[in-house]
Amino acid sequence: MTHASDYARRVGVKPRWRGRGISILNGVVGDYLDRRVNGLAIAMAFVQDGRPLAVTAQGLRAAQPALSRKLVILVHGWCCDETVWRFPHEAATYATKLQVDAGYTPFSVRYNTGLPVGQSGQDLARLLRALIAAYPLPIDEIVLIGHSMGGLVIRAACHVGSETGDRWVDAVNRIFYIATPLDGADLARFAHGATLALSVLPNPIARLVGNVLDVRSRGVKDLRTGGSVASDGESGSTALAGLPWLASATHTLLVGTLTGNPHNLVSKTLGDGLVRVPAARDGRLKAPADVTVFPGLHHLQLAHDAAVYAAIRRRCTTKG
Amino acid sequence: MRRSTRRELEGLTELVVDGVHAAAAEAERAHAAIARYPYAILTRVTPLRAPVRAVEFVQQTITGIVYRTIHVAADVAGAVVATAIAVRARRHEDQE
Repeated sequence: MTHASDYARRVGVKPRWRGRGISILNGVVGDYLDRRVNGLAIAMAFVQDGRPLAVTAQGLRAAQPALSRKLVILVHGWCCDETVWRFPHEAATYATKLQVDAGYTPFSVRYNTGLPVGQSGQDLARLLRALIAAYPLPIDEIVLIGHSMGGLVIRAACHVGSETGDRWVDAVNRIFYIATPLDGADLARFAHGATLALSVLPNPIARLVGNVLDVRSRGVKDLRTGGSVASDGESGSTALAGLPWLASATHTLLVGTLTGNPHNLVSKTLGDGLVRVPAARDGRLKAPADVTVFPGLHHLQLAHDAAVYAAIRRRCTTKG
Repeated sequence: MRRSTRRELEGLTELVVDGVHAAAAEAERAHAAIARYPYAILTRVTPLRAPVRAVEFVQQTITGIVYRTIHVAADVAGAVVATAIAVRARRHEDQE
């Protein structure tokens, strides 16, 4: 019998702990790693079986023997990698399940979650442009599924794609934002407030703790407001929360609560542990969005849960 | 050793060395600020001012040397590890 780690070594797949460790490092100090061109910095890519996928017609055919005209693309959240989508005790993800149930061709993105959300959005737009150019079949439909920060990156990519007139944008017809802090996360706001407070206290230890807290990446700092994208022709930036929603797509927010009762104080205050339901339902969203709440599912569980998948499949197999 | 593994090990080494530098710099800043409190109080007593300043100078010089040693040791350790990684990678390439 071959041990799993032996197999991983033979085919060149990193052990899971190593991949996760690198993803966490990228989430915490990814902007520094990128700036220093450090070997641990993750470059955005589609990945399959733990390895980057060559975005060429040949590479795509080799990776997916049965390509279809419908694509589903998964974008993970902060400090995670594509393994966050795996169901417990099986290799399936929402994307591979959609392949079996509805004929979609699955893709998973891996990226440096410590980079600003706007920059990751630009990278994703570029990656999707390359995918469309290399894809051997015409594409009828693209479904984008983002977990947590991944939803913000998708929103930024759609904005960039719309601004530059990318072809892939026209094919996007459904976007799922799973546990996405569309207008910011309370925990990130708390960290920002704590850093500010500690830095103004006239105490060297408090300032030291504040400085250590401030080391966190620009990606995680973006979670305070929901991120921003560079404004066209200006040096400033525009908050993602204030941008129009991609008109060609339907937008669905899937959020969880820590307790079984979404109306009790714990659920209302903490949401899924990181993202509150009211944040997702905030009036500022003003989107043709439908919101589904999954009581009893915490932030990470939402990335690989049967009930969440059922909600996604229902929408993907329904016309309109 | 795979090329990606080598790149990651080199990256990790650089990250640890940079982390030690940053942590030592922050600790030195906090250390200096805390140490200044008693000296500030004692220098208000006029007869003590000159000896206290002398003691403060000696203390600052010693702690400065200690922190500089930490920076140098981090650079040396980083260089040793980077060399070891390069040697190991070359040996691996030769074996292949």
